[in-house]
Amino acid sequence: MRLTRRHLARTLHLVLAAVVGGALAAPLPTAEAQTPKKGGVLRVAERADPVGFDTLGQKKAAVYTQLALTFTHSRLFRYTPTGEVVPDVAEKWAQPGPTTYVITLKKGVLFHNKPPVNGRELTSEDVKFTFERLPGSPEERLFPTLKAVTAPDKYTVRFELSAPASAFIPNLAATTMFIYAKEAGKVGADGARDYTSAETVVGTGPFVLEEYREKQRLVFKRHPQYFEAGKPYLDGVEVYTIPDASAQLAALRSGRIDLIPAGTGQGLAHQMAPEARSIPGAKVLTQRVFQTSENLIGRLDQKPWSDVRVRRAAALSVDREGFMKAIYPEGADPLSGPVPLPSKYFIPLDKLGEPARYYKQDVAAAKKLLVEAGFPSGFKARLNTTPGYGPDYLSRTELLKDMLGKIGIDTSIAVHEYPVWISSVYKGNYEGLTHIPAWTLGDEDEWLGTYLPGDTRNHIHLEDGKITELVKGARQARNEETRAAQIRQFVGVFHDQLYRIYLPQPVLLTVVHSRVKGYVPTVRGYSYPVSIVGAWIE
Amino acid sequence: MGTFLARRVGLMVPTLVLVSVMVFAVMRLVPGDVVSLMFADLGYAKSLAEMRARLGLDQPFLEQYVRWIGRLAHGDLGRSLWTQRPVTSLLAERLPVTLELTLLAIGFGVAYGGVAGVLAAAWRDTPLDAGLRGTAVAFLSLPTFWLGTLAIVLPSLYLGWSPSIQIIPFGADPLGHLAQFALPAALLGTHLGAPVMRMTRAMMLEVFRQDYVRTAEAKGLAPGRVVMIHALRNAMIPSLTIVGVQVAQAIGGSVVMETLFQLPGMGSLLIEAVAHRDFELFQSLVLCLALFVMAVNLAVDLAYVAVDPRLRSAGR
Repeated sequence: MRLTRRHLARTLHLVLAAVVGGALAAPLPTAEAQTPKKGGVLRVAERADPVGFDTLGQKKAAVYTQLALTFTHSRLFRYTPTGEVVPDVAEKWAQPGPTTYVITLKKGVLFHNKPPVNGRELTSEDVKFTFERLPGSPEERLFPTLKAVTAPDKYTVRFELSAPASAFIPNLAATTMFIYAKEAGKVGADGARDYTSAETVVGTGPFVLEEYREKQRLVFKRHPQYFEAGKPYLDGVEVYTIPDASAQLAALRSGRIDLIPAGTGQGLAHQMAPEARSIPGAKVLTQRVFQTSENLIGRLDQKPWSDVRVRRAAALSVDREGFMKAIYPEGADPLSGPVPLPSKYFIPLDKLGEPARYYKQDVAAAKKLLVEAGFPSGFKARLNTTPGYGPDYLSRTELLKDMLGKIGIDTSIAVHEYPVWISSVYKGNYEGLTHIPAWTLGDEDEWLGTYLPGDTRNHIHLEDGKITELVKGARQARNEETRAAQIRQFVGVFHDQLYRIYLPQPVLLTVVHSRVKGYVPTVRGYSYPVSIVGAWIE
Repeated sequence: MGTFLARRVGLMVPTLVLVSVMVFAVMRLVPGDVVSLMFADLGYAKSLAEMRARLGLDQPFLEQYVRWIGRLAHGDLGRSLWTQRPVTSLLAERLPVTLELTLLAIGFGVAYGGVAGVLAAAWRDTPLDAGLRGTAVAFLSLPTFWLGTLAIVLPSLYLGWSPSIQIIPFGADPLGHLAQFALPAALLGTHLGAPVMRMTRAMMLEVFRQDYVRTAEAKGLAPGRVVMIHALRNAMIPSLTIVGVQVAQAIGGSVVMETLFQLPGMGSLLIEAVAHRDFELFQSLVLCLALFVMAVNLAVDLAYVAVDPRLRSAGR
C-alpha cells in the first residue's frame, strides 16, 4: 500500500511538475540550485563489503576496506576528487634535508566520540603509532626508505629516511595510510593492536561508523566535530551491499539508492549504460581514472617473448578502434600505460614518436616482423586468463585471441581459477602469454616500483638495467624536474620495447540520481568518499 | 515408529563420518600449493611454517582429523581465516537465512507441485492439463538466475518497486520479513516444484487405474474424496523422494537467489570461503550443509511412514 501511494504521489508530482514547469518554463537560478544544503542521507550501492577494517594488517587491505575507512578516517594528506594531493590532517610540511620531512598537524582535530577514544584530540603520537604498525604490513612497500618516525611535540611528526624518496608526500595520501588511535585497537594474542572488527573503527574522518551489518550495509553518521568547518553537508551515508548490477539499477529506479559509484576501479558495464539512462532522474557520469589498462604480457626471460620483434608483432595485431567500438561504447582511449592516462607523465600517442606505429593495427607488418624473428608460420602459445574478473573479462581474452590469430600467433586459452591465478600466474609463474587486468594504484611511484627486479608484481620478469636505473632515479629524484625527466624517459623506453602491450582503457561510469548535488567522480585510488564530503541532497 | 527413527538416525552416523572424512581430505588434496597461497597472498600468517602450524598441517593426517573432530564435538568450529571471525558466529548469522529461504522454497515447491500435479491428473488431456504441464516444463527449463533477474528488473521498470536491499528483521516487521523472502522462495520453489508436479501427475494417473480407486468410485464416494484420500496418499511417496533429493539442489539454487536478492546466507558464504581458500570455514560449512540435507532426508523418510502405514509395520 505504501509503495502504491508513493508511486502515485511520484506520478502526480511528475504531472504537476510538467504542468507547472510548462507554464512557467523558468528553471531555478543555477547559483541557488548549487548552494549546498545541510541534511539528508545519501544511499550508495557497492558490490561487496569490507573485509575487516584494518589497512595496515598482515594482509593487503581489500578495496572495500579502503573505501569504508575513507569515510571514517583521515590521512596526513589526501587526494582531491580531481587527483591533487592536499593536506588532510597535516597543516604544513617542510623538508629540511633530502631525507627528512617534518609535518605539522592541524590543531583541534577530534576523533569520533566513541569509546575508548571518546572524542579526544589527534596528536603526533597517533601518527607515530600508525607508522610503527607499518613493518610487516604490505603497505611497507610505499615507504621502503623510511628509517624512523619521531614525535618531538604534540603537533609535530618527523620522518627520517635512509635515502631520498620523491613520492614520500604523495604516498602519505594512499587510501591505506589512515591514522589509527592506539586505544581503539583490540590487543591480540601477540600483544599487537588489531583493527579487524567494526568496533575498532574510530577515526577523525568526516563520518562515524554507526552500524555494520555484514553483507548488508554500513551506516555512517556525520561527524559533528569534523575539522573541516561546515562539512560534510549530509547527515549520513548508507552503503548497501548489492553484488548484482541489475539489482543495483533496479534499486536506483525504485528510489532505494541514490548513487552507484565507480569507486573500485570498475564502474557500471558500458552495455548497461542505456538502461541506467532510462531511469528517471539518473545521470551517467564518465571519468578517466588513475588506472593502467588491461594488457597482454609474456615472460621476458623466455622465448619467443624475449624477442622485441615478437612483442611488436603482437602489438600490431591489436585492432584498438574495433576493440573500443565493440566493447566500450561509452568511450575509451587507445591505451593507458605504463603510467596511467591522467598522469602528467603519460605520453599520448601523437607525441610518442616512432613507437606510436605499434599501436595501430597492421597485420602485414606484424607478419613481416614474425618472419624476421624466425616464425614465418607464426607460433602456438597458451593465453592465460581467469574468470575472477567477471565474464566480460573472458570475452576480452577471446577477442585478444582472435586478433593474435590473424597474424599467426595461435593461442589456446587457459582459464585459471582465481586463487590459482593469484598464486601462480599473477606471481609470474606461467607459460606463454597472459591477459592481465587493469591496475588501480596511487602515485606513479607505485607503478614504477613494479618494474624493479624482484618486485612481486613484476609478472613479466623484467630485468632491464636502463629501466631499473630510470625507476631508481625517479624514486630518488630531489626535485620534480629530475623526476619528470626520468619518468618520461622510462615511458619512452617502455613503449619502444613494448614490455607490456596495453589495451584500450574505457572511461568508468558512475550513476547518480539528480537529487544528489555536488558529487563529482574521483580520479585517484579508492577515494570516492572524499567527493561525498562535498555532496548534498536537494 | 521409534525403531524406524532410531534405525534412520543410526544410519546417519556413518554417513556423517564419511562426509567429514571427505571434507577434511578435500582440503589436503586440492591441487596447487594452497598453503603458500594462503600465507603469501592472503596474509593469513607471517611465515609458511606458521601457516602450516596454524592449519595443523605439521601433524600426521590421522591426528589432524581426530583433533578436528574433537573440536567439533566440543562445538568449536574454528575461526574464519579471512575475516578472523568465529565460524559459529558466522553460522548464527547466515544459517537462519538459508534455512528460511530453502524451507520456504521447498514448501512452495511442494504446494505448487502437489496441487498442480493433482489438478493435471484429475483433468487429464484437457487444456488445464496441457497448461500446467507446459508451465512446469517452462519452470524446469528457465534458469533461476534469469527468472530472478526478471523478477527484480520488471517490477522496477513498470511499478517503480524493487525488493528490499537489506534484511528486514522478523521481530521488527513480520509481514515485511516474510514478503522479502516470498519472491526468491517462490522463484526457487517453482523450479523445485516442477519435477514434483510431473511426478505427482504421473503417479496419480497410475493410482487412478488401481482397483481400490475404482472401488471407491463405484461405491459412490465424492470425486474429491477419492482423489484426496484414496489416490493422493498413495501417489505421494515418489514425490516425497524427489523432494528429499531436491534439498541439495535448493541449497545450490539459494546461492543465486541470495546474491540477487541481497540475502546474506550460507550459499554466498560458501562461495566466499572457496574463493578465499578459507578452509577452516569451508570445512565447517560443508559439514553443516551435509547435516542439514541429512536432516531433511530423515524428515522425508518419516513422512513416508506417515503416508504409508505399510512402512510403519515394516519398520517394527
